Amino acid sequence: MKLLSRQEEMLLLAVWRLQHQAYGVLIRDKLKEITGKEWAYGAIFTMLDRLVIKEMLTSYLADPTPERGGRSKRIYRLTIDGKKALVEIKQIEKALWEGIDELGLESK
Amino acid sequence: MKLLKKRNPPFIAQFLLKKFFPDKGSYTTLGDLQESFSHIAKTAGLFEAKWWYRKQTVQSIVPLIKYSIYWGMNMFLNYLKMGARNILNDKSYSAINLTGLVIGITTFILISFYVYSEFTFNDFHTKGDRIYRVNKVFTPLAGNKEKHPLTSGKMAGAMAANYPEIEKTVRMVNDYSELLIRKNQTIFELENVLLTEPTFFEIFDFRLLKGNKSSALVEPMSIVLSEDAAYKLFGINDPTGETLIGLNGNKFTVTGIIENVPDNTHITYDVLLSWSSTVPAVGQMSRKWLNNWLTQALHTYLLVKPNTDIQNLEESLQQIITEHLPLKKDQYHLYLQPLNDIYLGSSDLLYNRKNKAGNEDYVRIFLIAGLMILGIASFNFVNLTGARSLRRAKEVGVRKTLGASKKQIVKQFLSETFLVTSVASLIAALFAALLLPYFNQLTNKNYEIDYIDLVLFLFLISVCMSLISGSYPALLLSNIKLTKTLRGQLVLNKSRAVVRKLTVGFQFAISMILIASAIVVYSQLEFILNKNAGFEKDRVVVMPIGKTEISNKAKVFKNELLSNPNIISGAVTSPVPGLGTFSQGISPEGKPEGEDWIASAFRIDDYDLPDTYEMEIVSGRYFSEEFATDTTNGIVINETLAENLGWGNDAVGKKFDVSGEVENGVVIGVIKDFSMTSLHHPVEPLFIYYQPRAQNLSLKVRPENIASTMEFIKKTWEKHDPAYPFEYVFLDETFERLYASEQKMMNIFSLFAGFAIFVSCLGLLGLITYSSQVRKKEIGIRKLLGSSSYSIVFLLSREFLVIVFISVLFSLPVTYLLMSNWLQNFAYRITLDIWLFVLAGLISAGLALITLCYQSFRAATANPVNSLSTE
Repeated sequence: MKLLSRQEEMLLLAVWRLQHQAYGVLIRDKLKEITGKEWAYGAIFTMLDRLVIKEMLTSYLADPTPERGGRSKRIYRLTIDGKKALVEIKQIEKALWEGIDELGLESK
Repeated sequence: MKLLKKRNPPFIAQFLLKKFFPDKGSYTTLGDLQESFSHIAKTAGLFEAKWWYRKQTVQSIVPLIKYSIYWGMNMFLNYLKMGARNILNDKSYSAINLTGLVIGITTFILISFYVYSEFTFNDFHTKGDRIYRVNKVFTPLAGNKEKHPLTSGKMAGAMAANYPEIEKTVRMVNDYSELLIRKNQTIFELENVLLTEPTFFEIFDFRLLKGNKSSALVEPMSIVLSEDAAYKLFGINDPTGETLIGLNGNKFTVTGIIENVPDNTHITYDVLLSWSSTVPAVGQMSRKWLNNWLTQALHTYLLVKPNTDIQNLEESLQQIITEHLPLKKDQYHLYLQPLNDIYLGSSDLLYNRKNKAGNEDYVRIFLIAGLMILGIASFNFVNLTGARSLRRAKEVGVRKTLGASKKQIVKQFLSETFLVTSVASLIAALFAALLLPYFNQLTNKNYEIDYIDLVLFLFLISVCMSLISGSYPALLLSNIKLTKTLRGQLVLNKSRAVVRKLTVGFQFAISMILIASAIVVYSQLEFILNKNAGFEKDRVVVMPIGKTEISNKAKVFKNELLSNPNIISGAVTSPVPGLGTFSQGISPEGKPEGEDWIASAFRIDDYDLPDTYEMEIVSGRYFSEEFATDTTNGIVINETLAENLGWGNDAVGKKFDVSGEVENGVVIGVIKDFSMTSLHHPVEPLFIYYQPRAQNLSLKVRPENIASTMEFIKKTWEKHDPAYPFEYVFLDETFERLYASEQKMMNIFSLFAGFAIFVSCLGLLGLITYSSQVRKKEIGIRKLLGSSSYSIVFLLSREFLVIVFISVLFSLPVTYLLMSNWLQNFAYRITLDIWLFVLAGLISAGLALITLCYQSFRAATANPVNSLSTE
């Protein structure tokens, strides 16, 4: 399987962290919290769609709320494939970072 | 509720987003956005929130558009590739389609040149929207109302002085006597002299190349030469400040050079001459009639101030008439004609001859005819593609199976049509460029191609054509049922047959209308050119002698010419029959003093008018040498005048004075009506009287040895006036020129009719080819079972023949209405006989029949073995 891109990884992690609350607004907030950057909705949805097509995410509609103008939330969940991909990328990263700290990369 | 509404995101942004994220109607994405929006609205304020929302919208949409263009292009290229393959795949079909389209578009391009130049005539004047010509409606005592573009010389001054809305006025008149300049023993002729004022340059945008705009036309005898005239007289030397000496001793000072008269203006000039030259006691060329209240002989143009209420101004202008011409207040009614209307909107004006004029009706007719031909070509496309859809259906089926949406199929066929039409447009542009010189000849114009405009125009045509002719086949094919197409069970259904019948019918109806119109125009022209205008115009040579030495000894000259046996007779007259008149006031017996009677004046200097022109005297007698008083008080009137005056058959012997010319006149005879203008107008009332020094000599010559006769006339002329160049016209040729615009119309119409029927027949050929291909097996079986070739020809063409026949019938009333409307332009016209339509119907039906028979006969005579042996 093709490796996840960094952004895809971040998104999948955000969705995983949010568990049953993973819909557009909160995903965006979480990403902001982690990376400290403003994300455009456009960018997020494009990637979410792509992940759905790759079958790493599924989505379902939740109940509408008034502050959303009466529109439903689309809540995303990780699929097995998504989880597998995350595990895989985690292992690779772990291998990549192995022993790096001892070389003193950290700028203290 | 109101509060909540205000907290909504910006409407337009939301609308756009909805367009791009259809999301099956639940719009969850929009919900997310709105939630964030209300959050920001609460923390940072509504304004911030709205801006944020808009930013998000743009950020989301831009990449979307980018992608859709990228993929759209990809698919489009694929469609074009398929289209090109399809075109090459079936060459005869593509050839028919392309030929039709090329002819249609070429015609349309050429017609657009004509229409565009006619509609943008006169539009180069920057103040054009504020320039008006003062015209008037004239109500004669007897007869119909007339419109004249003429005013009198004093009006302009009174208008400028009394109407604050009028910014400037200019008077102008094309002086009838040409300017003859003697230079180094040669005589130069400046043909078209425009008398005008300095304001000419302030109101109009004619460029003065040399000289001072404000002073060039101020001094009497100032003359401004056009580039051509300057070159003719001075070569490349600067003529400003030079003096020109006229034949009669007048001295003119050249004060400037003006650009040659542009093609697109109704005003004409070779040289401009200052108006002050004509003012009595100021200039040497005193012309009282140009500077009084009474004579209506010149054009007045007004430049009004911006935002002037024209209707108001028109009404108040009438004051000028009531004040200064109280006798005419019921007869003259002034009105203003906008500059932009003058060229196309003056066909109902009399005395507009010196100005170029177009005809708005003709422009419309041509435009419509051009569109019709384009329509015929489009319909060919529709029909042929429809017929071929059988073959294409499988391709559509495969595309659909592979996941193409209906929309994509529509797109595919539209792009294919676009490919065909743009190829056709390019070829058509090439043809148009090649044909332009001939078209210019045909229309007597001078069009040039602006290539940038042409490319834009072609693109527009291609897009429009592909939408018009592509949408039906596209919808048709995209709606085909998938299962049927792949199993090859597609049959021509009923609705398609209806469309085909309608379009073929339309094509032939249009062709028929054009053909019938061409025939009607042709017969009307023939009729007019051959109609006896009351005199015989063949073999009459007319020489203008008014300005030559000959005019003083016209009789000697004429007698010398008559010594040649090939010259039958000659007449010295002032106007020439058929070539226009001027009016004069008359006071006939029994009419009260106050009544102003006007009639055309015809002056003679000898007694030979009826002989030369073969005219007929109805009652009384013509002028004769036996009656010495004829030269002083003899008057001959025409039948119309006799009737208008209520004299009927008792005209002879009535008193008849001509103001300023003939006193104690007596009517000695009535002459049969003859037409003094083109036959668009009925014969006007006219009287003939004797006045020495007439302007023209007409000679009736024998048809034999015309060349040597003309040589003889020329020699005699040179003997009597060696300085002035020999000039002559043949009256019948001049006559034909009166109908130049009709001739033009006929040329273009015949061309159109030819194109229309050709393209229609092409379409028919394509259709019958396909239907015979589709029914190949049926034909084979029929032949096998003993049917004859002829019955098969009949079988194949029956359907089309019925359509053609019906459309021909249907177009009859339309043509009849159109043409009887056109014929209203003529005072003398043909009656619309049934044979004209029968002829047109025979032509179009005949051509259709030939086309049908040709192809169906081929199908019918084919050996059935070939069609049945396959499979």
